[in-house]
Amino acid sequence: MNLIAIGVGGLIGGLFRYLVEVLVPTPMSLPLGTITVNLIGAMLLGLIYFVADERQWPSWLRLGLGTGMIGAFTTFSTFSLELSELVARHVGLAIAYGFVSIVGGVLFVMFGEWIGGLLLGGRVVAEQEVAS
Amino acid sequence: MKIAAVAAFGFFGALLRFFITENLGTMHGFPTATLFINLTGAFILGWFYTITIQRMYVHPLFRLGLGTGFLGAFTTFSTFAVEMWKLMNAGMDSTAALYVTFTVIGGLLACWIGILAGSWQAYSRRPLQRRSR
Repeated sequence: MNLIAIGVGGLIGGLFRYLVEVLVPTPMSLPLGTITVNLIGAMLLGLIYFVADERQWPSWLRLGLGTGMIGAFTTFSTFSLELSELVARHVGLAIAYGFVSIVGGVLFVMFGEWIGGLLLGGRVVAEQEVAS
Repeated sequence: MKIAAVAAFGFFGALLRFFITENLGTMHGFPTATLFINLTGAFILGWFYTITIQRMYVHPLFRLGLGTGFLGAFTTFSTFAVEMWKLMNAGMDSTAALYVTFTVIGGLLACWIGILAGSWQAYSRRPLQRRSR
């Protein structure tokens, strides 16, 4: 069950990454498509893991959506290849690309957790009030 | 058709990543599995995209499927970002610094070594009369 969920998640994630890479332009050889998938993916993974922990999702759902879908939606191999091409041609852009991806990635994980807190916040507080 | 190739290969990329993560995991909190996956994937992508242009011609759908689909889904950026945040959250700043350095510099090096290996392979296997040109 877990394996099927991860495989199907990977299928969907890879498909959406391809769509974004095709649709988002690459101005001045800056890979905006990869930036988009990696930052949105970081945010969604932060959100999914937060909600999965709070709501105690079954493992197939957590693995399918998190490890499978979002894991496959974001990519490191393309990021490295694009970075190595940029380093050879335009060092400034390469540094900007690396910085935006890495620092942005961590910030977007925090952002995702914050959204998760907002989404569940009301209900978590309500349950605590009932319990007390 | 292109979308189907990316999706089908993505299925197996995500599964292989899961198997490696399950077996390697972390060492003293350091995310060894993700680092291994990302560096291997960067190396293979550099090699594959080079050799398929210069020497070993494959069907464009297979190139897209294995490169964007399989290797793209095998490697992951979101897990890396989450692990970075977890390490920083746990106050393991030096481990986080080590992790980000190994990942970014290592990924760059792995990719370059892959490109060099592919070019060298393509070059050294050409017929001699063309090589001497």
